[in-house]
Amino acid sequence: MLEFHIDFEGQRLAEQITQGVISFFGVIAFLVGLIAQDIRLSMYIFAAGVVVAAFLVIPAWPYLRKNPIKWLPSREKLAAAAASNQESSASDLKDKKTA
Amino acid sequence: MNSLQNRANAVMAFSISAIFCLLGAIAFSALIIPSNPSGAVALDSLKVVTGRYDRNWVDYKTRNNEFANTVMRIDADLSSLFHWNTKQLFVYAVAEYSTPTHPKNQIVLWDTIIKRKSAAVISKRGLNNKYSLIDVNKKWTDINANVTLHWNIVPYVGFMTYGHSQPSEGYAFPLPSGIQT
Repeated sequence: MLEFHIDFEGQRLAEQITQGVISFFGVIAFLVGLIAQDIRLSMYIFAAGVVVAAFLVIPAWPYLRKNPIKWLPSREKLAAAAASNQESSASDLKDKKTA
Repeated sequence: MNSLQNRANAVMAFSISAIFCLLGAIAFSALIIPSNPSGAVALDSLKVVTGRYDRNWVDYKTRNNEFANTVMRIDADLSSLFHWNTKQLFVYAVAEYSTPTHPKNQIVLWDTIIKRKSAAVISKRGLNNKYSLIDVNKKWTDINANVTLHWNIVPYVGFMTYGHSQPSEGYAFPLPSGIQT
């Protein structure tokens, strides 16, 4: 419940976005703070970066679920499918014999 | 990064690492920001009176311990010390002298805390010493002292740095001229 899974490609992308956005805002925060000589402004810019990264990455947005994993069917399903195949092929044979 | 909680954890953990780097950069940047503070203390008057130490002192019973009373004049422009990592300045005037028994003595005469750049230009006249100017030998005879303005930059993050003005000329302590009330 409430896990909001994303796929493998989405996980790679989410990690890159997290690091990229937070690092970028960190560098901007340092430069703007240094030029404006205002440490408070610097902290606010960094906090904004964390909020942006969280917004982009934490919810399971559709862009993080573009490459869903294609699972093999389960064994029961395979067995059932195989059985029905056999049946149908057997009935085919029967049909052929009768024919 | 699979589940919601996992992604929230990853964002927070990376932001902690990043803010640590940011604060480190701020701390080191403060060391290389240039400044040109200036300051001077001078004594307009120096008097010695005798009196009794308060009862925290060992020989509080005797009444002939010597206290020096000063009238100071302080001029300083410390506004260039206010950069983005300066929280406040601690400014203090120090008297320094040597006696035959103790080669280096430093006594804080007056101090103040400056919290804003606009308050960093100091021009004060007629300041008495806030803290008693008393020597361990209890006498001020034949001693010369100079006074210096010191400052200490208290940062938001990083390193405490210290500075001081040029020491003033030496002042000779006069003979006792009264009784401390």
